[in-house]
Amino acid sequence: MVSPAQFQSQYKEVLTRCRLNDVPDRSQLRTLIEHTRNELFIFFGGGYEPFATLKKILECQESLLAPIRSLPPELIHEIFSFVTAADRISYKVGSRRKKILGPVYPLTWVCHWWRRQALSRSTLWSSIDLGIVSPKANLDVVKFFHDCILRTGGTACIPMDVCIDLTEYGRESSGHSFVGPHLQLLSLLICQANKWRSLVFKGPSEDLFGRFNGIVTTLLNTRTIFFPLLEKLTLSLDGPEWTTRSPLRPLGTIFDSCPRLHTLETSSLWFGGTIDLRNLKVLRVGSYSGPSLSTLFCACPLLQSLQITMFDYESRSAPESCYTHTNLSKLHINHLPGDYFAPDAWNSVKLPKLAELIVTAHFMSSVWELDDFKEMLVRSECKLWRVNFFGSRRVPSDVVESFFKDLPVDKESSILYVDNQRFDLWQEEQNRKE
Amino acid sequence: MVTLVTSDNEKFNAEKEVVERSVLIKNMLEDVGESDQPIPLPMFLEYCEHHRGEPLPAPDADTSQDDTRKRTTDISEWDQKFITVDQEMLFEIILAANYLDIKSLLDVGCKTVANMIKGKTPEEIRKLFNIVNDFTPRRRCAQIKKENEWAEDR
Repeated sequence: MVSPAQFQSQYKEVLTRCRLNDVPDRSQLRTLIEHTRNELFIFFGGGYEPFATLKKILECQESLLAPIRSLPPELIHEIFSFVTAADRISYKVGSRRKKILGPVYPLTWVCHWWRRQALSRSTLWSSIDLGIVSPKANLDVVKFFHDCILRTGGTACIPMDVCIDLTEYGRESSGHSFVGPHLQLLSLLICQANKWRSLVFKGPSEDLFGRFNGIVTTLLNTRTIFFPLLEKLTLSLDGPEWTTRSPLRPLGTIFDSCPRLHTLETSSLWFGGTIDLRNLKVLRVGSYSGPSLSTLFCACPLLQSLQITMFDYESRSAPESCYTHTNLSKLHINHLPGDYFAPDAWNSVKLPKLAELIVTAHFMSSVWELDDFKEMLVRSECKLWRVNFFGSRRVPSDVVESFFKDLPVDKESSILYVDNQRFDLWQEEQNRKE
Repeated sequence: MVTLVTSDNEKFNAEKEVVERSVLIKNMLEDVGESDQPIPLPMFLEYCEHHRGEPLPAPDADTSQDDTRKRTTDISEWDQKFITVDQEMLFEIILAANYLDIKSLLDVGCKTVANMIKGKTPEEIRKLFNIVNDFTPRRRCAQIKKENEWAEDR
């Protein structure tokens, strides 16, 4: 008769196989399963000690037959990537929701084999959202999040997508002190800045961004901070853009060396900053301040898409010669009335490649003030094939119609929209005549 | 026309354009050239026939495209129907698509498994795929238990 110790040893062996996903030959495994079932039948009801062990052996043997175990590690990783790609790992220090969120976690708790696969793949851990509400936090959770950040691969160059959200910081805590365990998390993320592929920074005020800048500069301990992989940068300060008339200057100097930066979204941009925009293809800016619009276009020769709300002359110098930008194909203007957008701003540019135009009118009278802009379009000799006007609820229909008039659009090929609904300008004109 | 032979010696004729959706077969055909020599490979003609003419992924597709591809686990209606099979067949399809280098079919298979996993607890996942809970010793189990208190799926 087989001794209990032998059953234990058999169990250890098959459990190790499960843990390593070491699947034996399937026909051999089926024979073993049959054998275990027979033994279970013998011991059933006998109250013999190995019965429980045999049951566990059978469980492991049957699990080894599971079809999913036939996949090699690279395919398991492929599946895990699909599970985790849509949602990032997210933790808000000091918020009411005390847990870290992320679809990767359940994968690490299924079995030893899956855990090993999930922990060893840095890419599954490389999209991280860190929010700070207050410094008061469960230290165990902070420590665990710290470990999770380290799973991004240490010094290995796995690109990271990072979001730092300080929007709520200061509302619940007294002051803006960056002292405490949350600073350790922030520090750890910042120390991996050379791996950032995208960064979203959300903050409540310019002052806090200044502090964040200070931390970055101190931690990285160098005058020139280099973001070799950074492709997309979003700097969002809390509150509607148009509540602040004078543009903020949140960029500072820390993002001066981003050779791969192709997309920049920022609440405000000040031309006096030293950020290198030469490779920029997409720019979304709330408020821009500079000598002229042409200086902005000059600084971004590869720009293909621009969204802009406010523009103000930083220091009005002598009128500049007209700059022709030959790459911009898409322009979105969030148009506000009054002097939010400096008059004659468009006089210094030509956009001959412009093909798509989006105008969002925020107030009723605003479209009357677009004459300079429309003149620029005509002067540019561009041909718009798609125009979308948003805000028809705020603007009377005849005003909308007048907006479309005189735009360089083609009756045959251009498509016009009002609030995403097709708009037939020529039919409207015909109707009016009749 | 190309003749494909399954492992149990059944022969199928298919158009070159259809079978070339498999990068492996495409490379083999390029190596062998025009020949009457049969190619012994399992059958994925139905899938390739349906997706005939669709653009093949560029061999030098960069990582950002790869990331974009992975952000969605949506599967077209036809593909969903095609992949509605038992688990044994599902994982065989994934393995074969990987071997034959049919990226789009591999994606369909992996997305299907990902969708089966999403939103489930570890216990539900174990049950679904017949995976045994093999966390030992107690120290490891305690660690998993703690992590359960600190983190969760959204």
